[in-house]
Amino acid sequence: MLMATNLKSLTLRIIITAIALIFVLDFFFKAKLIQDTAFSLQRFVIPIGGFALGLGGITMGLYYARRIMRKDKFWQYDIAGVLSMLFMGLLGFLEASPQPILQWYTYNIVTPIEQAIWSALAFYLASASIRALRAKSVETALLLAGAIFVMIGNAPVGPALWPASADIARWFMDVPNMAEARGINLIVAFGTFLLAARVFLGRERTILG
Amino acid sequence: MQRLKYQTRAVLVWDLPREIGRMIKDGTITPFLFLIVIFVFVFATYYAAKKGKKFSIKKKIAAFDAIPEAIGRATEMGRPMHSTSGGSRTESWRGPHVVAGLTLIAYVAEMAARIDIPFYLSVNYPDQIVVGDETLRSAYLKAGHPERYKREYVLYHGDTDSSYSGGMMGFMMRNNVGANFMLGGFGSESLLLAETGNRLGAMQIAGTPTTWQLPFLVTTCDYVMMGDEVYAAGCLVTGDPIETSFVISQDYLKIISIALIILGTIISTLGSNFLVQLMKM
Repeated sequence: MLMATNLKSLTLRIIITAIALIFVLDFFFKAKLIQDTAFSLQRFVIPIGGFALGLGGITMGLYYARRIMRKDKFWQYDIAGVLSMLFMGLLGFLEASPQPILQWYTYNIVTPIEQAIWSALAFYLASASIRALRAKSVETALLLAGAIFVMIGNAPVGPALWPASADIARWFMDVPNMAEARGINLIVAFGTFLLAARVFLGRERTILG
Repeated sequence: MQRLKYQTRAVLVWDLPREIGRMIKDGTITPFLFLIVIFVFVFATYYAAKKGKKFSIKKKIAAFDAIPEAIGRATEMGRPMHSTSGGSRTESWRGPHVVAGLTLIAYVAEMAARIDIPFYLSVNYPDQIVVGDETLRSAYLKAGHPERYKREYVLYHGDTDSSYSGGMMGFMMRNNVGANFMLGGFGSESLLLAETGNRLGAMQIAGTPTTWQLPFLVTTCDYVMMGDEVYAAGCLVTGDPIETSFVISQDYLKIISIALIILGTIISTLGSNFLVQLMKM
C-alpha cells in the first residue's frame, strides 16, 4: 500500500517536472518540437476543464443534497445555491443565443449583488487607513506625512489648489514606493523558483497529497 | 517515404554552445544564463545539505512563530478557525503563491487536528476543492487523527471574486471564527476578509508574496509574512536541514542581486549603459 502511494507520488512528480521543463524550454528556445509540444499541452486544458466542470457539478449537487437531507447548519442557503445552479445550468442548455433571460438574470441579480460586496471595500479601506495612519511612532508619523502628500496629489482638488502636489505624489509612488515594490518582487521571484525546485526534487508534496 | 516533421542532425559536443545560441530566442540569453546560475546555487546548497552540512537560520519569522499562539487562543475561546489560500487560480502566475500558502495551511491543519479544533479552508476555484481536500486530509493523517477530518472543512463559495469574498465573510460572521489564516496569493478580496476577521476580534495571521496586497494585510492582521517569507516559512515547517538549505541558497541569490544593483547604479551613474544592454540580450 505504502509502496503504491510512493509510486503514485513519484509518477506525479516526474510528470509535473517533465511538463514544467517543456514550458521553461518553450520560453527560452525557438525549436519547433518544443513549441508544438507546449502548444499541444496547453490545448489539453480545454477538454480536461470541460470534464472537470461536469464532475464538479455532480459532486457539488451530491454534496449539497446530503447537507439538505441531513438538515445541517444553515441548510436553507444550500437550497438557494442548488436551485440557482440548476436554473443557470438549464438556461445555458435551453436558451438560444443571445440568451435574454440569462442576461437579465446576470445584469439584474448577479451584478448588483457583486457591486454591493465591492462597495463594502470603500468603507473597509477608510477604516483600515484610519488604523494605519495613527502617528504613534516616528515611522508611522513619516507614513502619515507621505500618505497626506499622496492623497492631496491624487484628489482632484489637490493639484487645482497646489499644482506641485501632483508631482510630489508621483515622486512618492515612482521612487520610494517603486523601489520597495521592485525589491520585494525580485526576492519573491527567487522564492517562486525555489518552490519549483522543491516540487521537482520531491521536497514539496503538500498539493500532491 | 513520409517526410519527417522534425528534422534532426548530428551536433558535435564542441558545437553545442553555438547551437544553443542559434536556437535561443532574442532577449532571453541573460535570463537563461541567470536561471542556470540560480540552478547551480540551489542544487549546490541542496547537495551540500544532503552530504551532512548543517545550515541554520538565526532570523525568526514572527508570523510563523505566532501560529501556535493563534491556535491556542481560538481553542481557549472555543471558536473554530478559518483559512484561505487566496483568490488566485492555481494555473495563473500567482499559482506558486497558492501552493506556498497551502504548505503553511497544511502545517496549521496538522496542529488543529492534534487538539481537535474545527479548521476550515475556503477555496476560490473548483479545482482547488480537490487540492484543499487532499491537503487537509493528508495533514490530519500526518497528525495521527484522520477520523477527525470532515469533508465539510473545505468550503467552496463560487469562482467569482465577489461570491468568494461574500461567502467567506458570511461564513466567518455566522461561525464567529477565533483565528483566521490568510496564506497564499491574494487580490482585492484580502481587505474584505481581513477587516471581517478584525471586526470579529479573531487573531489573524497573513502571508502573501503579492506585493500590492501587503499594505491592507499589514493594517488589519496581527502578524504578516511579507514576500519571500511565505516561501521561507514553508521550508521551515519540517525543521529539516535540507529544507533550510533552500532558504540559504535564496540568501546567496539575494546577495548576488544586491551586488548587481549596486554595480548597475555605479556604472549607470558613470554614464555607461553596458549593464542595461547586457540585461536586454
